[in-house]
Amino acid sequence: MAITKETQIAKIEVIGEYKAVQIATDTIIKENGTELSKSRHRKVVHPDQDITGEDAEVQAVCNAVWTQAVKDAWTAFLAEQEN
Amino acid sequence: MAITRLNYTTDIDLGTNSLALLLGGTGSVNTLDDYEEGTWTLGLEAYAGTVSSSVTRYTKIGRLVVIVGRVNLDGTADADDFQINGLPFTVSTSSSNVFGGYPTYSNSAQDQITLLTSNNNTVASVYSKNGTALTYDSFGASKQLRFMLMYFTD
Repeated sequence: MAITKETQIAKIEVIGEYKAVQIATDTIIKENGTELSKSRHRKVVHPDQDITGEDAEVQAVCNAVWTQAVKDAWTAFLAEQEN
Repeated sequence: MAITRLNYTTDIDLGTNSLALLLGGTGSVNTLDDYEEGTWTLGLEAYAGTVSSSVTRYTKIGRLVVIVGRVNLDGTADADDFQINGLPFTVSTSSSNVFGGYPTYSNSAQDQITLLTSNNNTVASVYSKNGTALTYDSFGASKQLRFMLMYFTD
């Protein structure tokens, strides 16, 4: 009887003008390969954030959509929100 | 085909192929196309101290996101605005859709604490009465905030 724990990225979604990247990560507990339980954790990363600790797949998506124009627009938007 | 009664004793899995439930009508306003629950990671924007405790849960029903959290400030002095970050979904683009929440418990000396999300972002700011933005210092060192927050996504 083997109990295993797997973590896998369930969704990577790119949201809105500023390309926020939403990540859903599932933790799955299995017994002999049969799923016993699954829980989900969510996080969102924005163009000004450090993504070096993220999964390679997430980094690839971020690097693809976070052009300099997007980063500049996000920075300007944050400055506008502070005023 | 109209199904008048479901009598299943197991879960009905609509899968991930854009299936949705139409409830009480056939328009987009009657469509439930998303449900999800889980946890999120609460952070404090620009906080000099350490988030010493947090319990975070969310439920998303359609576009509506309901989150709960608990955060304890440590004893670090910090005059930055008290802002909670790490919300599990990006808030709606429109600033007219920006709403917030309230504490369910706090031992801060501040009155009438409220929380307000920021559009296009994953941040909620903490305010006191008259819309005064609270700083970590004014909320109080070593104080606790437990809260519920509701907002829309696009």
